[in-house]
Amino acid sequence: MMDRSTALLCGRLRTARKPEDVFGPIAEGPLSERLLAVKHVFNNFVVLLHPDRNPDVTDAGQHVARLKDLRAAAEKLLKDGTYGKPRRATLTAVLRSRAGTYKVLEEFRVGDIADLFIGETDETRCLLKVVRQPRDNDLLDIEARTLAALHGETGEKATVFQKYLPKLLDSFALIESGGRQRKVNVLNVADGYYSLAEVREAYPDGLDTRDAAWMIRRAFEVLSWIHDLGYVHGAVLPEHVLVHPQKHGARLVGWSYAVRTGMRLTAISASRKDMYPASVLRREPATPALDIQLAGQCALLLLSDRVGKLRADVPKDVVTFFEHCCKGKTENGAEAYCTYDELLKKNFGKRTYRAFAMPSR
Amino acid sequence: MKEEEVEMGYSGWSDDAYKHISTPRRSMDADAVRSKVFSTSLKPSLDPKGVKVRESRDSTDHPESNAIGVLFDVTGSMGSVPIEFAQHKLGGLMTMLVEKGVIPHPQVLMGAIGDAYTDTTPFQVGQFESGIEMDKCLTDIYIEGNGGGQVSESYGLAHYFFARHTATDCWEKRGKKGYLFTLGDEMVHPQITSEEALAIFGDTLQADEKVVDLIRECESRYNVFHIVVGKTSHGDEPRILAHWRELLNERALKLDQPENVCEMIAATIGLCEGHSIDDVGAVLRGAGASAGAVKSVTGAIVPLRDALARSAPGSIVGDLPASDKSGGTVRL
Repeated sequence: MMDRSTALLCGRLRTARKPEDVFGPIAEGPLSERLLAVKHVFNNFVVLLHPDRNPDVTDAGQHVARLKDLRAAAEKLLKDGTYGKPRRATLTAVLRSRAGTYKVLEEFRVGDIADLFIGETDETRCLLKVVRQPRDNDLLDIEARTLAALHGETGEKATVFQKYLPKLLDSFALIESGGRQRKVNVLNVADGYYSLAEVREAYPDGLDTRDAAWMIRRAFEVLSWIHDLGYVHGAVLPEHVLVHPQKHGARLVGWSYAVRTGMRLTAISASRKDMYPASVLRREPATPALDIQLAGQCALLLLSDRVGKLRADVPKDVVTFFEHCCKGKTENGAEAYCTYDELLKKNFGKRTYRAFAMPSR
Repeated sequence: MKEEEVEMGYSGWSDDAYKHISTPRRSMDADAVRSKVFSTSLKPSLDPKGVKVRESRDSTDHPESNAIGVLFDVTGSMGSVPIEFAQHKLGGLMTMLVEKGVIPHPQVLMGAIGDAYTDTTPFQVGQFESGIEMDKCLTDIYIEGNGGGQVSESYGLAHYFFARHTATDCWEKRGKKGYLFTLGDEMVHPQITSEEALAIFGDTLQADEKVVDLIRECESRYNVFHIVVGKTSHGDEPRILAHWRELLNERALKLDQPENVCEMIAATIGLCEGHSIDDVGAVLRGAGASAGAVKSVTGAIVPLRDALARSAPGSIVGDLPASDKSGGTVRL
């Protein structure tokens, strides 16, 4: 059993958000003396955590690593003259899990459930998805579990389609003051990708059917794979389908709502509530047709102008097909992909590469 | 362990008060306890029918409450476990949880599980309690003692109830999961039928519910465990543990000696709360557990420790305030 001071220290290290939480107040004075004060406290704490002194401390290595982080942060603040003073929230946070250390670089997006930051780990950029409300931790759990399962699949198809998903680099709960836990998922960044919502913003009069063609086809393709594996994405929304203009690549993100086929969705995106069919709100079991219903609406959105009027040059049978999808009459990704592909061939002939560009950001 | 919290004092659980009510039972034989201490029919306070929600909430005395459900199989030979609990064990469990600082501010809900096919009272559920009232919930249980020869009981009723009819501040305010323990010696009936849901809970379901799905639903807000109790009718048959391992992996725990049940619960919670196996063992010893009991219990939770190590919490230096966006999702 560890002694009282060590127990206190471990508790503080677990919940500290800033160096002051561990090093306490440091008297005003010359910088060198103040740095020395931090060093003394640091050394005392390291002794407490040493296995010779306290063999019962679990994860002593992690505690010491964290203590080092906090000391470095304290020294920086002392040099800046802001130690112990109220500071503007700055993005100088460093997250540390069992698997890695993540420096927060900049804000990226504010999602439905999580705040997204660009971070850095081992000199590689990454995406840090931090849940806003602790009660939504379960949704980030779902994302982590689903991505891990899908990336665990093997075979030819898996190799192809895993590239259409974010990679899960890490997943952990961040323990904050007051015992609050916020879940963090670390994903690889999607440089050069734009969401369909952003694409639509950039083309307020709607896209040419031939430009939308590859974007929608890619979405159907990846959906056909996950449907075969028994998953429903549950949130195929304009914010969650990303496309790469030059590479004609795609990525399906936002896996927090995913379920196994036949289960009910636990949550939906509030801002896109109108896109979901009534069956979801009635809590009926989710089927692959739901994903196609949502994808069909994404397609119609891309092909419409800012007041929601379809472009005149969209072939009639293509419109009919998407409307069919929206009514839940197309069963799954495979069926949608085949039907759509046929329609495109019929209307536009053989597939050709068509350059598509987004205005520079 | 967390000695500073002991000094701050938790007002909820009082050992002296508990000794006062439990001492007379200690000398009684099991049959007498069953008929004189426990209820002899379903108490309305434990009837789940029409219960909208059982809540575990923070209060001034318990600012960071932690919800814990302990639901006993009360069929056949398993009925002896809650009896033993009421005679000798509840006090020990609360001492470990509260005084030894295994988990701050535990709020324990006790309940009982039977067999929806053969029992008149297949499910009973108390309230989340911090204090001695939990003994009242425990002894209000009616130990019907039937059970139906299929080597399966309706443990899924507990998962159904926790998934659909509980609310906790530990989750809603802090994103921290509560604990759900079911204890028994048999397998679980694979479904909750809509007839059962209507008869037992008064709930109208669109279709039967698979227990495996209900367990997953529970797991979003609770650490879900099942303790297979040995030295019982079926608890030592390998297929029982194998069945639960399929459902819960390392969270299906085998308890060799039924009398160590509270040690097992305390040790499991301790591990999940971030304490080491050695710390947990020291707590058990400190609360009077024998060397054999400590060895048996800590041995059973090694796979759990290894799994937990893979999901250890992270920490933060600096500030990462949440943006002020709210209501991004609608729960269904």
